[in-house]
Amino acid sequence: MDNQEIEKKMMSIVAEDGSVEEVEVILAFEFKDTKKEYVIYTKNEKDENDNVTVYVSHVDRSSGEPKLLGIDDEEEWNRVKDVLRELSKVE
Amino acid sequence: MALDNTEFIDRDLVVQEQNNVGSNRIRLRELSFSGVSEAFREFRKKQLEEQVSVARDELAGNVAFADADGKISESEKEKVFEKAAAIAKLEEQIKILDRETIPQNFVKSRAIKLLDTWLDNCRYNGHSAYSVGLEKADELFASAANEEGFVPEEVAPEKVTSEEVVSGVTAPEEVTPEEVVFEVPAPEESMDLGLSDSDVEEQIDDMLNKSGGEVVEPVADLEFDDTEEVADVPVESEEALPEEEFITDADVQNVVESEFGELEEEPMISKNPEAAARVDRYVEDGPLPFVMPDISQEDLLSGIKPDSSVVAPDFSDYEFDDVAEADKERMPVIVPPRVFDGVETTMGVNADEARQADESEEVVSVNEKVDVSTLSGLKQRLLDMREKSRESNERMLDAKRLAQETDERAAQVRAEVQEMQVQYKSRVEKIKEKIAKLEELQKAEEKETELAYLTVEANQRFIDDHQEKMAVMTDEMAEINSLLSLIDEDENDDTIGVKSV
Repeated sequence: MDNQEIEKKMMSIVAEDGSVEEVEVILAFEFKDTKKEYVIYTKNEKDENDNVTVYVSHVDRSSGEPKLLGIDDEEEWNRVKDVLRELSKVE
Repeated sequence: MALDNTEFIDRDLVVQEQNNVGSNRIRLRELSFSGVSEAFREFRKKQLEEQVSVARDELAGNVAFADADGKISESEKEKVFEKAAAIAKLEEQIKILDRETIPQNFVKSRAIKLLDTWLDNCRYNGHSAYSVGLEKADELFASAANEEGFVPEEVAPEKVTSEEVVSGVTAPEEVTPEEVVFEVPAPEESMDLGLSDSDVEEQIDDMLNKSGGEVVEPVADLEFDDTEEVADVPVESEEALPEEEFITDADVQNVVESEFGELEEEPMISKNPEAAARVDRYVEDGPLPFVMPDISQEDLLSGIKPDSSVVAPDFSDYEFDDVAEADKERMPVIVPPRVFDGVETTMGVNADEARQADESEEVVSVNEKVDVSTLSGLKQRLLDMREKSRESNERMLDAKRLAQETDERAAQVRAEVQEMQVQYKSRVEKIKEKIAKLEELQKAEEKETELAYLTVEANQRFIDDHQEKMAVMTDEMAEINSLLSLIDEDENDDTIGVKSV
């Protein structure tokens, strides 16, 4: 693992056709009460105002291999956003 | 707080995609993104530091068995070296996360250093083994504290302590600061900027005051007197250095620690040992960042690649849902003021150049590349920064006004919500009361119904019992009547017999 990979935590997403996409993990956490695991990653996409697009997924390990699922529940999504808000204010 | 119920995770993750990768998407401002990344980086660093602590205890508590001659065997030394290498590897990862410059062969050199220190500090414990002991762990790593104490490979080593362990690699020579000789270049001619120092300082102070930054007195206002030391420059050899601390041990140590590996260059020694700290004091991070709202649920991604039909981000769509439509249109773009990342400290040879270097670093943005070595460049930068400062000040005022307006609206909404909640609660209470009353009424009716059924049952039993009795009595009455009629007939017959005698 080179220095760049250590400084930035990378995640590999393997597609059905076998192609691999490397994305940068910004944050990985789980809620203590629900034990649900989430990962927030980026493909370093920026818009014209330098805002960064990040992707938020729930990590499902129930079938052995980890899968990334979207968050459909509104309350759950709000909880995740609250975490992001608090972390973004940490100096 | 949301973070109280949250636990960070640092696991390696390889995701096998089955169908599509489901992800919600959200936009973060640059500062928000940095904040989140930084928090996770700190967490990862803390994890590594904990692992280092455990590994250090293991190394300090390690027991190396002696061979037949009473010495530490080679295999035992290899085990110690492996533990030391593991610690060095973790320390390297911590340095990478701290974005420090890592010298070449750091892991190997550090491992050798730790091994040597362990061997120097281990003692025979009377059980055919050598150990340092946990109680000496702090001492062990304190003596190995000079983590950069290694010499580049081209320097011939004089001391070999672990050559038999690391085959083909000789231990590095230990370098002490006193052995390092620096050549201090001649000072450049002082530049006439056309602006006096006080003018420049005044302008910079004005900019900082307007932008709300911290105003720090310029370097020139430091109390130490360096005029004599300026006169002593240039210094060509170590012997020519004046005794009155022109170059302090701390300066040399700092240079050794921070610039090791670049000894080919001619390092410049700062006249002001506080220069680095003073530059850092000009670092600003801007106001609290906003978090852009997520894309609506309709735009929820269902694949690895973003859907090209997703609507382009609407910059007027902010976090607070209650922003009025009119406000959305005139809502300004909030761009944080200039952000300084880690500014490399440049050190001047003399006091004037150090001061100019500090002031020039203050006004340099990370992304700007302006030649500060010329008068015109410095002037241009000053003018640019004044313009930027004015713009950022205007943006800041707009942002503050917007924040105040949204605060007021949020307070209003909050009050309305509270009122609705109160009404909701009172109505719920009323409904509950009515339900309770209906339940009581229903129970009472059930009781009455039950009593009525019991009464009917009792009456029916009474009727059944007496009907039987009435039947019996009726039969008896009939028999009695028949007997009475017989008696009457007999009485009539007796009366007739008397007359015939």
